[in-house]
Amino acid sequence: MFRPVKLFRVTIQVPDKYMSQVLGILGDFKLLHLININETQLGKLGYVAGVRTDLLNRYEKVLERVSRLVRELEISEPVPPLPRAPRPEKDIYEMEERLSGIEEEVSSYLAEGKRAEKELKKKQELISRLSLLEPAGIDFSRLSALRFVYCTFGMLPAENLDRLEESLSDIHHSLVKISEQKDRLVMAAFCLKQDKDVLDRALRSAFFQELEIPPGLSGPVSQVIKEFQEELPGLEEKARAAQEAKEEFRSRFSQTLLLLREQAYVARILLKAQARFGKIDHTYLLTGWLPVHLYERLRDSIMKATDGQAIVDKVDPEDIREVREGIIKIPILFNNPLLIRPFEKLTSLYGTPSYQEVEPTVFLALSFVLLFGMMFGDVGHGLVLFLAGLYIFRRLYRYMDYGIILMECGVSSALFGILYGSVFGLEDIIPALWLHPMKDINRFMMVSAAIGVGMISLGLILNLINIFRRKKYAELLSAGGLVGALLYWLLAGLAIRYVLSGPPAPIEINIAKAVSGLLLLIMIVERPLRALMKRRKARSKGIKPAQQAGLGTMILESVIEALDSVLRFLANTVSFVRVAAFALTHAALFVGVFSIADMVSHGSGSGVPYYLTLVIGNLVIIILEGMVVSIQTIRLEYYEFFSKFFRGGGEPFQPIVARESEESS
Amino acid sequence: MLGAAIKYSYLNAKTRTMHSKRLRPNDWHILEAAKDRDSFLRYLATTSYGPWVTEILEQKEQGDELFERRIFGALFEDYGKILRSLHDASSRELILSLFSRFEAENLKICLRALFTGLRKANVAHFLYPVEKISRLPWDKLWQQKDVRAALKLLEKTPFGPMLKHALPQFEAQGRLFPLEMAIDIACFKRIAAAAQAAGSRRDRARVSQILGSYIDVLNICHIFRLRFVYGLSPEEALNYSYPGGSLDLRTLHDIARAGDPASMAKVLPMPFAAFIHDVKGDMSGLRLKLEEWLVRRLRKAFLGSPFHLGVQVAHLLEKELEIRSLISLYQARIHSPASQAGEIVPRIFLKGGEPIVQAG
Repeated sequence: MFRPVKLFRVTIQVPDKYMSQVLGILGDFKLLHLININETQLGKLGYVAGVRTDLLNRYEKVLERVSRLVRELEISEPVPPLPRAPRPEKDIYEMEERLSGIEEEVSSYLAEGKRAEKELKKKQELISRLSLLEPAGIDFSRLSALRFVYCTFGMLPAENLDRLEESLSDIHHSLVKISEQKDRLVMAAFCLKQDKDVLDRALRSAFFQELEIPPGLSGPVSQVIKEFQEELPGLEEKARAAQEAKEEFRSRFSQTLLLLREQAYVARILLKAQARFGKIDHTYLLTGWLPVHLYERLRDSIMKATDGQAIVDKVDPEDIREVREGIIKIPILFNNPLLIRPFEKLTSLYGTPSYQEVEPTVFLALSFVLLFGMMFGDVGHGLVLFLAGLYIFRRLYRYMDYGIILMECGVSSALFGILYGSVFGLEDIIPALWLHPMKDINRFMMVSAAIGVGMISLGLILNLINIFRRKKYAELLSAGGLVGALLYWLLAGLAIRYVLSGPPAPIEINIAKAVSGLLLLIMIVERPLRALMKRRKARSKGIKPAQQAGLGTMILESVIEALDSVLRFLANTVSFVRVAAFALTHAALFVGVFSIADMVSHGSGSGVPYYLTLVIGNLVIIILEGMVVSIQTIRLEYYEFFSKFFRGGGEPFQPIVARESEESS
Repeated sequence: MLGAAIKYSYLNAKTRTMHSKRLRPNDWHILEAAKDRDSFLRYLATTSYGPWVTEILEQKEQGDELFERRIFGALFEDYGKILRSLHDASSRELILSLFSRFEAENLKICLRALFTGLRKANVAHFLYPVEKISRLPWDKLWQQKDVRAALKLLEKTPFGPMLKHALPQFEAQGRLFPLEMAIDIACFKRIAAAAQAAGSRRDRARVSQILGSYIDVLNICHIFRLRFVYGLSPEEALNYSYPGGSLDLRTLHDIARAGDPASMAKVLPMPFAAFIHDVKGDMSGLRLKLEEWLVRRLRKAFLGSPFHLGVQVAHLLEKELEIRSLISLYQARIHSPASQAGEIVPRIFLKGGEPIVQAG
């Protein structure tokens, strides 16, 4: 939990005839961070394996066909987990056959359904078009009997009517207004057949939208509409039957199709991954990072699948010179329990921790929930947040992580709500088990500062652990190392002593002065001393030391840095007082909401506006204050806590499947 | 009157200061005599167009379109100054509606680019620099995949309703022409509506008079172009004419019905007929005469009572004509150095002149 998962660098050599099985096994294991062969010596020498395009194309086609069926059957269920990863070379045959079977059964029904829906829609549109002409009582039989007159129906922007009339003044014509549709006129336009072109040109340039009426209609328009309406039930029945058939197919084939799609997808990823493999003659070579606990199982599976003809090797990162020298980075695979895992996103937002440093997600998660709850303490609001989180967790799969964070923050808010005795801002429903923020401001601020001291101390301790893990012992003497930490604790101890039992005794002050002076001195001289020693060492080896600043400049810089560090410690600690400030804001907003509600109820003289104001006010507080508190909490985490120990610069672990999927997307 | 004086005194002083910076006949004379592009631009850099010309001179490789578009920066600066000095919504709307003609041009280019699959970078040199004033969502427009999506984005803008009317014709004809016409018509419809709603009764009267003359000139040239350049029929030319002019539909129809350019000049009503009786029938000659007449009309706005919006409208339109004439002269200096400025630029710019005092 405090460290990323321990990894081995694994190298696998496989004869090409077994490659498909090995790909499948890698897909089963998933947790292999593949190293691109092009980044290695072998790759640079040109021994890079190609992708099998023929097979890849077959999978692309399968994927396309399955996706089309999923789309047409409107399948929107979550994708079921794959029992095992596909063996690309072998499984394609079965997949193609199964898909063809489903297509054969489904396609004709789908086509029939589409046809029925299209015909229904077409008929409905025609009826709505004809309805526009109904007020004129047009008889299509009489219109079709006109031998010398051309007629067209359509809609004209009302403002263009005068121009159109004028533009047609040279020909015999008639523009008959039938009805109005918003800013357009439904019209019939008549002219002599010999002037048809003039009329059409004029109508076109007046933005006349012709209503498409199929030829061959006869009888009054109302009768035509009635005839079409009588056809509708039959078409609707056809469409409904097609819809039912679609639903039946969906329930029968949805799981199969989703599995097929997933299989094709993973197979495609695995095939594409071959571009990252090396190849010498008939042997593939691939290398990557694998969690230590999976190594034995992976080796056994590959050896079994290849009849012992593969070679699977592991190397401890400690034994790789490039890793020790920092040329190669070991990817970071987080290892946190379910409730902590969503906070990995917040850690990654700041940076990816390096393999050697403490993985801080667990500290971030606990302190985030604590600080949020303190600033947003209210049973009712906590409950609302929890329910919102639960909804997201259950319904919006993509945002599941945020749902968990919201639920945890909701629980924390509710717990602090119990401690503050606050339910939707009402402080007389339950007793406060700890304090009312508005009534005990000083105490609350002290507690906030104490939490700050605790978190900064934790940050300093984590930094000491990181120094030991990285074996950079010289940093212990710096302001961020042990010396700085001791100075901070000394000052914090004095402050706590003052708060708890009054001013320290003179002897205590003298001791503190002496110790802090000594610590400051160490902080100031450690860098110049190290630089001097380095220079001497270089000279003794006969190497010309690199150009550096003079001793005086270095001491001056160190003095400034030491003072800056002390001030920063103070500022960081004071910064935590904001926890109390935002808790007070939260309580003060309730006072505001209740005051407005009172004013509204006095004005209107009824209780409904009062409760309405309370509901709206609470919603505003939840949304607005919730956002502000989240931002402040993140700020405290990043600037006051992470900045004490987090160096970052690590590379995130990208499992073979995820890496390819990101690229493909 | 006192109210009008308070309202317009600062605006008037400002507009007249801007108006006083227009090119003098002497400037036109030197520009006409310029040997080449560089000497033309170098002299222009010494005039009120200096800031924009210097920028163009520094970017020689960008081509002539850059000059033709960037020089409009001088006009848009005046638009900005006038808009900043106007505080009532109806007056601002009037100036913004005039400005929308440039938005319309850019919009047409944007739609053409989307229609032909070009990117903004390919046509950027054709675009007017309207960003400082325009409220259209240009960034989003350029990100659209096709014309239909762009039209969707324009639904709530002043161009929206007319584009919606033209959409079926765009789809039926498969070309942008109906949309381009709709954009222009929407633009002039907006101008006419803004002129009817602008400020006081005096404002409305003077503005309508000026804009009526301006739109008449445009309509005559537009119908001429539609009939004899694009070969459209009289009924189409009439339906595509701009709304808001003082010429009635019958007169416009008469103009559109003329069988050739020469007879078209003959059917023009007064006062145009008297002014262009000697035009031979070519487009540039007709345009030049009409612009000459228009500039005289515009200058009339600066006479008499100064407390009306007509002064600002007249200044903006005259400056626009000045810039268009400058562009014509610039192109002539590059492509046909032997041409005379009198064949390109309205004579009133070259010789100076008094406004028409009698009502048209």
